[in-house]
Amino acid sequence: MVLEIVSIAYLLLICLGFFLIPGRFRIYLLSIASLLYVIYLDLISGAVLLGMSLLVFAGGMGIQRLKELQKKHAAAILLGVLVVLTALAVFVQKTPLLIMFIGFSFYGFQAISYLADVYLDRIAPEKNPVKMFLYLAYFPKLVSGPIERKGDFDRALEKVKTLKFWELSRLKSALIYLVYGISLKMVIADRLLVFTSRIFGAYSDYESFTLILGALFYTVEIYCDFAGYSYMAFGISKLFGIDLNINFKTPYCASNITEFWRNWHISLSSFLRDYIYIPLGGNRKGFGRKLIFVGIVFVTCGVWHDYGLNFLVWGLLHAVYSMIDNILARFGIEWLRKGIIGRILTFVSVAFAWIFFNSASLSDALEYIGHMFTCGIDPAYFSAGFLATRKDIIEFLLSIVLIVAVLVFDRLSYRDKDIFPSIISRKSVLTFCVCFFAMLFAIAVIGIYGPDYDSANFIYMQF
Amino acid sequence: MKKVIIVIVTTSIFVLALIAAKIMLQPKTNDGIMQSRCLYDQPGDSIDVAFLGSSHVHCDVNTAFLWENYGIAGYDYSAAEQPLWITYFYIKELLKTQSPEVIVLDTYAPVRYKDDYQYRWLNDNLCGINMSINKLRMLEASCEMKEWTNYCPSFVNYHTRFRELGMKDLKALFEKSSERAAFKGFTPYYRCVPQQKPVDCVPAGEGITPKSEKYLIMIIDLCEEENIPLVLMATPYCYTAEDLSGFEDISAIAETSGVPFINFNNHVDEAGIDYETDFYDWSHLNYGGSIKFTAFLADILEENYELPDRRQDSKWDSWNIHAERIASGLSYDPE
Repeated sequence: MVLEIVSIAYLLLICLGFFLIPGRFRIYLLSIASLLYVIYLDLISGAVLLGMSLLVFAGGMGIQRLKELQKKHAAAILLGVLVVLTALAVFVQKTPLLIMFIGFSFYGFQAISYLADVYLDRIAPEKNPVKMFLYLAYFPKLVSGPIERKGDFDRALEKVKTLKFWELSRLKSALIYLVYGISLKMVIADRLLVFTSRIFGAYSDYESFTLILGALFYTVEIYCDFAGYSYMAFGISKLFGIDLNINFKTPYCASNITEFWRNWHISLSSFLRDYIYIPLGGNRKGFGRKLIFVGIVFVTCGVWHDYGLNFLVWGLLHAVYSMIDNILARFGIEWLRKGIIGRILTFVSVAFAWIFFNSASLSDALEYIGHMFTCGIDPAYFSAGFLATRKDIIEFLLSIVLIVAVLVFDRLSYRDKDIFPSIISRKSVLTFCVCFFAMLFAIAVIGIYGPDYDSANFIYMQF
Repeated sequence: MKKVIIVIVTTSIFVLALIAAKIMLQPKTNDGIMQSRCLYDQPGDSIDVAFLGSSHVHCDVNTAFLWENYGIAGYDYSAAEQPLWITYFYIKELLKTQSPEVIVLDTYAPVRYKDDYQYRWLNDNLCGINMSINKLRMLEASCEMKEWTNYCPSFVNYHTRFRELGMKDLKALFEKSSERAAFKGFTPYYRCVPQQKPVDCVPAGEGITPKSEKYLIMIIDLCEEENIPLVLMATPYCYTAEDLSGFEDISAIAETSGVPFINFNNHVDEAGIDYETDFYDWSHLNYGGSIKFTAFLADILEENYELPDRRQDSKWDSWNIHAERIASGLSYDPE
């Protein structure tokens, strides 16, 4: 959901209706709520989503029917046509010639995974068109994912009919995920955006120190923005008893790039693994081909995000990182893939690649990097530009404190092999309440909202 | 049971922390916020003359002088560039706790500003008003629907002040109601900037807008319903030909409604206003000018209305404190 007062009011209304109506109607309520939500965002996107769900519904039934008639080749062709058309639509709608449809990148991939899973007999085709629509359009995850699998989603829906409002552990979990997500987004990500938008928007005016700081700030910003949204989606969905998949698990604590991609945008990376990497052959066709398949996966990942050479290069960079990591692992060079060295190398590599992600174009990214390495380090220049007033100094210091806080929380969570909101939801009532109210207080007082700030929408909404 | 107690205690601490944050963070400017906030600390039914309108009121109407020399319990319930639609709801807010003998309304803002939604000083007009249905109606009249969430609750607007907190904000946590009660809205400006006396000119332009006219009539009707005499006025300033058109409209409406309208720009000589010494800027009188103007205004009010002399009544002690502060220069400094 987009973070607005209207959205919050809408969510409360849906919750009220959800727990007042009989359980068997709840799925229909959520479907109507999702449809109204997407129409509110954009009427045409609503129409496209409806059309897409009908197409996928019919496609799944068609594939199953052809298989039952022993026409496996026809089923494969139908699958292929639908998958190719959907994939093309996902990528083509990002080109400047066309209008992007809200959430299409996410539910487009969901549609592909559903059709493939039906063909591979992993799941039965959906016989209820409303449930099909809900799977694609479910409003907490519509705008920025996660990319759910139909089987997982169906299992999550099983509890909906009999769900009672007052289940303390569920409500605690929902609230802490929601508040933590909002904190990451509104307190940290949007705060850092104030710096990164200035730095990336006028990089030729700055020297190396400022540009390095800009890249580091953006590294934390995109994580807090995207992970914040994902936690919010998880928390909102938890209110309805539907457990979405966790999309981020302390990715910046990873010791190598392979581990990073196991913990960053997990739903996308697992989709690419299951529906591109493994079907191509995975690691079953020799090491050389494995590296090629890894490259294809990351190039796909890059162009999935957006149209532009800078995104292609971002994907290529991660392809190179992954290939190098695979080679290091194959030859047992573990000291570069573990411990503090591994973590630093991984973090710096990822931060460097984000420069391409956040730049307006490839040439901008290359110029940014060029300036970063050639303009000389002059912190006084940064002070003059960003620490001119008392307000600026306070904002900067606060940003540093918050960055340290989120990295420390993640580090502690990584040590416990868990994520921060999950740990807090299981703690004592006192710890839970202190953390919950502290975050709520931070959102209220230092959150980035109000007429002084533009409504900084989620970075990943544009994808 | 223990868990319930923990939840109640932590929730209470959170609420108290938010309240403390609200008190510290809320702006304390004298362009309308303190004027509207300190109204709630005035003793009930203590204001005999309420002055409403723009900053011309809280700069020009010297409530300390009014008290010391006439015993009139006046209150400058005004805010910068306050449009009439806000003034209407200000009067409604005032009447929740006060029963003034007279309401005096300055008409500079409707004459000068023609937009149906004015955002430049909207915060100063709204921030000091307590949340209520009246405030929501004020908000609805003052800004477009898409802006509502930027102004209500007011906390949305001023929470960013955490970056500029000072001792004044910390002291506000411990400020007593009696301290705020001693503020009567008057904000003296001491600087002197000589001005050119406006030359005679022919009215030009379109006069007041339909929205201003609508709310002026609503104000007149409201005062009539509440049986409170209303006086329309224009304080001395460097007016333009366009302003004169507006004053013509105000005058016509006033005449139709049987409400007096005094344009003090036509009486500057009688009042002894000197454009060389009595102005802070082209729009506001300075402290010296406010004394002359207030004396002239007070004579007119005393001549036409029965206004009690409250100087011996202890209920009105806060006006004594107010007058002492203004006399010693210890008042809320203009920011």
